[in-house]
Amino acid sequence: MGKKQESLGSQWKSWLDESAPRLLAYARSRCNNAQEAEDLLQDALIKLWAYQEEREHLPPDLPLAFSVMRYLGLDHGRRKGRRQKRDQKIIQFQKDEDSWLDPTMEDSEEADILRKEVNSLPDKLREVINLKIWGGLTFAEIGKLLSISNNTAASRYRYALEQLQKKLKHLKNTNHG
Amino acid sequence: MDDSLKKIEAQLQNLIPRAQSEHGRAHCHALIDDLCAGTRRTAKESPFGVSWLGGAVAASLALSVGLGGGWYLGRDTGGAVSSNLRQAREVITADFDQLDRETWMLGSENPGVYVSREGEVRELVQETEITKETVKHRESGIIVTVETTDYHLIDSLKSEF
Repeated sequence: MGKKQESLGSQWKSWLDESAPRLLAYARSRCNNAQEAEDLLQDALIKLWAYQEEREHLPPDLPLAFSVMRYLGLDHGRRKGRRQKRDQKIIQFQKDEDSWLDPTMEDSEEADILRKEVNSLPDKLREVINLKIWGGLTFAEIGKLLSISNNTAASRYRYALEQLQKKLKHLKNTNHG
Repeated sequence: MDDSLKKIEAQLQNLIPRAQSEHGRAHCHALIDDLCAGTRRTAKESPFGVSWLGGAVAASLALSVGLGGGWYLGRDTGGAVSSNLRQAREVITADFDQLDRETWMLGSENPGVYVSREGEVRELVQETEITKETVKHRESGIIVTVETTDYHLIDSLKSEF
């Protein structure tokens, strides 16, 4: 492999190391399990490489990567039968050991509740939370990606936070009698 | 946004997405090495990149070849079509260059909501998938762009928003 290819390889690997957790978190919102999400990421890498041909195969911007992941996720869901997938996903997301948010990183009660409640948010809301909080995208980028207006993206985000706030309050009250 | 929502936002930011598995990371790095070295073909470079278009033209060519070769109702001499189909596919993939292939989704803005027998509020959304493929015939230089539209009906539990 030539020096140019080696340098390009290093750039892609650095990009991947930095972006993989964000992209995987997003992929997990569209897949049944961690393995499928990792497969999706590998498929996305191949597509992104081809897309970047016009830009000398440099690593892509994050919004483009999310866009490719979204398309692949939709395609994946369609192939598996989305209805069945959603039903299974609701069950699977309840399992801590299969959570896409790392439970070893924090151990507070609130964090634990939040992690579970994010997983049980409706798809549309979870997707915006995912892209904003862990994807680091702006509302404009999210709007473009999901083909919705910036205001709708911001409203969904706010509504999702309100839902989480309500659930958190309710569960804390229940747990503490 | 009030302070309580900002607090929730900050708590969410503290939740860390799981890192990629060691196995997945190694696999991705190997994939990157292959892509950089040019030893792995992307969809764009695939010799069968013309996919459905190649398949459709190949099938029609095979049918012509088959009919021309005496394969028609009542006169099947046996086995000619499948080999002709293979030859036709080779001709198609050899004669055309795929220039571009794009697929994108359009979402419906007007979902239909209904109540199922089980009492669930469900919504029906129609997603539209557009595929645009451009191929060039090497000999004549003719460039053809074919656009297809597929509709997918998605039936799901209605979200709360």
